[in-house]
Amino acid sequence: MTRHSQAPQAAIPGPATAARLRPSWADLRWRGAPVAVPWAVALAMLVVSVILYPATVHFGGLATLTPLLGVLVIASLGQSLVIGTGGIDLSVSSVITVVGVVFVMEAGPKGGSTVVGLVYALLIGLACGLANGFLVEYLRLSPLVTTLATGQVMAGLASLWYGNGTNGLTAPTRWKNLTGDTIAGGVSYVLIIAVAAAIVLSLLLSYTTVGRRLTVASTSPRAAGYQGIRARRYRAATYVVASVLYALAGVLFVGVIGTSTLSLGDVYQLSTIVAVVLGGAALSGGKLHPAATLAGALFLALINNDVSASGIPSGWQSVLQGAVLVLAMAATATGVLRGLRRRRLRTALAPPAALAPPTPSEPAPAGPAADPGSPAPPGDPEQPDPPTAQPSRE
Amino acid sequence: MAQREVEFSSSGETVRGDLLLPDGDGPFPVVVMAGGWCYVKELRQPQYAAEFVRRGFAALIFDYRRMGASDGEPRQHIEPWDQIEDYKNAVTFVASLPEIDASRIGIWGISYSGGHVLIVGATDERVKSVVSNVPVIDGYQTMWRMHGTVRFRALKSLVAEDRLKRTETGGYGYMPMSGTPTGPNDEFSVWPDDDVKKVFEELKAAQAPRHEHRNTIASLERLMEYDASVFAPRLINVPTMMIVADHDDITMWDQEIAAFKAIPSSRKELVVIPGTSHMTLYSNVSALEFAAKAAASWFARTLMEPPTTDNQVGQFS
Repeated sequence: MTRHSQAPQAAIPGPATAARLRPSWADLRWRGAPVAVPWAVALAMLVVSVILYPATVHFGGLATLTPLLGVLVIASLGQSLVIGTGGIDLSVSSVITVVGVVFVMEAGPKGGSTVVGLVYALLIGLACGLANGFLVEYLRLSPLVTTLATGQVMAGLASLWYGNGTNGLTAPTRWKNLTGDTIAGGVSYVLIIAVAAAIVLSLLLSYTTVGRRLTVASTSPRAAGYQGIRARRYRAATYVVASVLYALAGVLFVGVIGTSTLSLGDVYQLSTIVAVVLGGAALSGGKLHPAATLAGALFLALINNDVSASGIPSGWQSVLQGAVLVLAMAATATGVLRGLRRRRLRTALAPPAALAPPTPSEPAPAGPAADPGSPAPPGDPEQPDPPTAQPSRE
Repeated sequence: MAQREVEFSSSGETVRGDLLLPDGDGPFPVVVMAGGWCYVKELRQPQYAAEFVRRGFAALIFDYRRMGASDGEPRQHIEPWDQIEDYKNAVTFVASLPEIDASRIGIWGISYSGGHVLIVGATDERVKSVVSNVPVIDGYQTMWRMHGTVRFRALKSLVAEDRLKRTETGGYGYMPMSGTPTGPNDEFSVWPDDDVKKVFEELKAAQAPRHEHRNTIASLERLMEYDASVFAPRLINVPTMMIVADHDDITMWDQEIAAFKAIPSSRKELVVIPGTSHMTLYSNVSALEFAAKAAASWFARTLMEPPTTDNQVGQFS
């Protein structure tokens, strides 16, 4: 714990203290609004799916749908943390793949240990996340290219280890049984773990000091700096937590599938981003809503399920995913634009944030993340100073 | 329809499958099902099984050892005689279930397993009815035709090199399941046809995430030793339906029809699905429904009520 964190602090939004005691309709609406729309859409999709394909909620349908949904939710929660800072993490697919390979390599052979496999998986997640966080937040490299590059390194390692005998191995039977098991009705344990992870993350973000600081550091590093929060550290930490979540998704996924392959994580490259955007998050960063990401993942999984149940070519899955991503981005962007217009009226006299010179107390990028309303893409070329020009506070 | 996951042991490995039961009270007649090259139980087979269940049959779809949800290593190593043994152990397993009538067991296979069911039907007396879809008959001739003479020579050297390497290192070499070569020195696949690759990739994305589009090189060696045709003459009185795709040039419809002709029993039926190819049975839902209906009709006619002197004598009076 740092000196800063020991100082008493109004971590929970100020006036909300009273409102929390007497929850009013306005307060509920304020808290629920970002989550309500994605859930309304996802539940509508669920109703449509059940009407069109009743088998969706039968044992076989659930037993197929829920483990994959759980993996998608866990990986998407990681992605949402990074997207919340205005960044993006394209290493997700390779982390899932390499973790799958390493887990099977350690736990798969006769006499192999599942615990050692899990520890290695965690270490790989930590290593990749630390590299991503350091490179993006401390060296100010573009998150797009940085995570693509670290992902490439992970994919290369996966390929080296895979050819080394791992390609013939399977995940340990006990692990397969654990991840493949369902509670009555066919709901996979993997989904239950995923929902638990979403709840824990939600509570952490809303009700703990660390969570509130992370939210401030994500949405506005400038404001965080004024509060004495080490924004860069928190923002870098999102990459680490995200990679650990991908590692969790990877070990669970390889248990569901049974064997690791070099394409294990491929589908999670785009689908995690789609799930987060469907949850209403703008790619330019902003507040985090794990419950909304959960809804986004459910919607996406149902679309894929319906396409496969309908028997139309699976190419349509990709077509729909792409179209849904564009639509969701358009919806979020127009919402952002509306918010921007309103704020422009309110702060007509204040100078636009993007033009303000970076202050020494706030070394975090003043570009996209500084203004959650700004539709600027991550990795804005207008990023100001090279890293060496910036005095480090750490 | 009720469905549950089941597992049983086959030569010491745990093999997993899905058991589908029709509504109502058993014991039900059952169709035991497994797939072809690099199949997993989720791939297309549930659509066939749904038709059987609709007609009052239970269905067991299982993954062979070393594939999909089942245990066993090396992964993706296709040993046809182990797969045939898995079929027989699956029959033993379903016969032990209280919901199943052990005297009414049929088997269904497609592509490579279309060949396996001819062998199992000929060698396991518990099997009372067989449906073989687009079966692999003679593996050596099939590979020679698919690859062409020049590539086939190189393919045989690949198999020989892998055997040597296996002896030296104990490790199995792998190769892709399918893909059209782009040049004479391109990498080998077992089924050099992009149509196969495209359909399987789509099915993996849509319904069968466990499918892996690769196999050991040793699996290819086993395929080249495989010949189901010699078992056709032993299907002396097992009702057998063979479903063949029009002009199938992947599992070779001339070989298939010759094998059908070699079945001595008169209780057999050949169905040629008009205007199709081998892959249409996976990619085209209406051709799939055609094949599923034909198979379900065969089981309804031959397995729902097995012949006894009492129920057969009527036709002669």
